[in-house]
Amino acid sequence: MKEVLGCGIDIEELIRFETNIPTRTNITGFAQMVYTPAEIAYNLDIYPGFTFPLCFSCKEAFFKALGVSWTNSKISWKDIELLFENKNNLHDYSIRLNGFAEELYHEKKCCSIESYLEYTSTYVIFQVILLS
Amino acid sequence: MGTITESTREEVKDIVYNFFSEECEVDINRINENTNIISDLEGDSLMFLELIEIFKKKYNLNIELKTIAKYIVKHPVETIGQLIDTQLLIIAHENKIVDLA
Repeated sequence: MKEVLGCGIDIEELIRFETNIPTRTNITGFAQMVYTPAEIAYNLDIYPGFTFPLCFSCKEAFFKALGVSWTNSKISWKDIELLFENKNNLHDYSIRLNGFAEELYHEKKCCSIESYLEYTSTYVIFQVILLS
Repeated sequence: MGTITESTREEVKDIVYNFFSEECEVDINRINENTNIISDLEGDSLMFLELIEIFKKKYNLNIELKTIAKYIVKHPVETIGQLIDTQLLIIAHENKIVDLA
């Protein structure tokens, strides 16, 4: 039976992202700090007003599941990537781990990730569960 | 790298106070150097990142987020006063902030 090794949930208000959503002509400084080039490339064309806040929320949820913060460990925002695969279905996505997030994931002996996302016109929610 | 004067400190202080007052919907007169960003103002990561971006633009800073994170791991920022001091160090040293003890 699988054991839960970590769980993180995050909710974000869409309006707070209004000024930092990247566009083709303006990759905002905020976006450059937080999102990977792959996230920016993938998500620009798929409802960016939702996909970028969801990326942020996914990263926050992952930090919580791993029990770390970007201000108390080596983890970086870009260590976790959320990539949407299907323009018509935001529930079709993949999560990639890099750097310290990947190290921690293996250190905790995690073998799989369960994740859930939901969105409304005003909020996005992301939940991450790390399993043995 | 920037030179820190008393007016720079006042300017940074004004930006930080106004930012948190607006973002957290708190009367600016209730904010002081000892105000705890998380427990008193309910500040969060998004606010931190937005503030970093504001300062990067305003002072044309050459600083990487990972550099700031490295410094903060060693020198945690909990209060408004600590945040102002850290921001002044970032303005003064930019990416070389990690070389500080």
